[in-house]
Amino acid sequence: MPQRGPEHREDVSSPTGFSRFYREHLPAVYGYLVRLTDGDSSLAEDLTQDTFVALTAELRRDKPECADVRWLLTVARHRFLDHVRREARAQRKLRLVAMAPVDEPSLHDPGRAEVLAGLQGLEPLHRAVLMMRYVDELGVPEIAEAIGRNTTATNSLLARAREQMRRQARHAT
Amino acid sequence: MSGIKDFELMPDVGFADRLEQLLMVEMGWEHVARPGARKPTPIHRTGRRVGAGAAAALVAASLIGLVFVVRDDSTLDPGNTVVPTSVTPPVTTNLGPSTTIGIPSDASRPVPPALPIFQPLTAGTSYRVARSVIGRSLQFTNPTDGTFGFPNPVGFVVSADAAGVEPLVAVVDLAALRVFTDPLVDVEAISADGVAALTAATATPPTDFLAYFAALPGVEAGEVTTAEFAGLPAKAMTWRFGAFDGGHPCSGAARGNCVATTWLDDAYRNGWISTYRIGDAGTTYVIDIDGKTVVVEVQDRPGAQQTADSIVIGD
Repeated sequence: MPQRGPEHREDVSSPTGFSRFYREHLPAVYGYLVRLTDGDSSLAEDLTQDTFVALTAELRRDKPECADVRWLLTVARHRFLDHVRREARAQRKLRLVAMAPVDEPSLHDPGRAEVLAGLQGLEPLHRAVLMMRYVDELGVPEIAEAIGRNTTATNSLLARAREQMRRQARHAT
Repeated sequence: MSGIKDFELMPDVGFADRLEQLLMVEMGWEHVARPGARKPTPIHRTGRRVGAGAAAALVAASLIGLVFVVRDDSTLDPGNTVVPTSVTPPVTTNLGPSTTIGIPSDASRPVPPALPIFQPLTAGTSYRVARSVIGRSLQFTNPTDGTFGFPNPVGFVVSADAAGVEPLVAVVDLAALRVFTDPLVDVEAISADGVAALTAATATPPTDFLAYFAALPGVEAGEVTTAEFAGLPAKAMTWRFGAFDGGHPCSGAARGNCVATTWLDDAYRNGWISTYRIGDAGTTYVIDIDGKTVVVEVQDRPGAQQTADSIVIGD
């Protein structure tokens, strides 16, 4: 997919232009959410719908700059994190959260391909932070802001996520 | 952002078309037919509000302990939006699962909204359930205002109350259930100890679910009969919980101790624990649907049979 600079603006002012934009970027948004939701297509579709409906709201507010795949993916990520938070609240209330022990920290970061291949079966928040860090290439402060934690806690979470992913990969082999 | 193609994935065509149609309506445009596209169908504009910001809630019910998460649409920026649509009220259709609804098969008819979580259902409205629950499309028509639905990928419950204390109908994939090895166990203590404790206290479901259920403490079960449910052959058994010794109270208990039966543990840990008390009664159906054993429970409560009778299972 060609990368567009911020100066480029999609023409979504007409039904035809909007439809073209939607069709072009739907696979990215949906695919991104399928990864985040660990293959839960129903949830991914719900969040995809929410994401594009949010776009229509912004366009109706005369904000055509939102017609950008990066904006869509950011919204998609927020929608997923909202879902994870709600889930976490429920888990806390039920006291069903079982914190997995953290193995010794790995010395190296995983690559993008390793992350994309290793997300399946991870806890939702682990999937989210790994995607943000190694696929979206966000910095730790940005991730911390997105998930509402400080950078120390976020680094710890990333370490646990990496370890969970690698532990899972070892078990699979 | 680099390498978007790494994760691009095309959703179900039906979902893509319906969502595009919805978005066109949200934008105030007529749907623009793409070459080869089917003629658009009217959007069934009922369902959850966009950006309604419903409060998150958790239910730990007594009769069936339901734990689900509200679809709270209020979000962080960007995207915390209320759609200013030209059509009032500002609601949109939750397109839900992409699977094609088998009933009705006529594509020109509106698709019912997905069964919402933690939101009061409307009398006379049909709701559809994720295809993953029974492997086929399923919809039902809600008979009364103010009932609540609790769907998840492997089952759903319609309850007369928001807490799931008064369930009307439950439909679940038997394979997704685990049964308590000791039905008089203290489920509150077990659930407080977490998933590992719940797993340890439960086992894989029995092949003969009706025989298992009939043998539970206090159960006065009728004969297992051949029946029909939603047009499909089924085995049916009526039951009532009479007196039993032992057990422990469970959440919302107002009628004595509980018998714990099953724990549904879906992929998101939003499952429920089913518990029963003296006086609870109903009919359980076991249906083989394409090799999947589906358990349907219809309790003896106003509206339950009507809800069950309205269930339509498609392809």
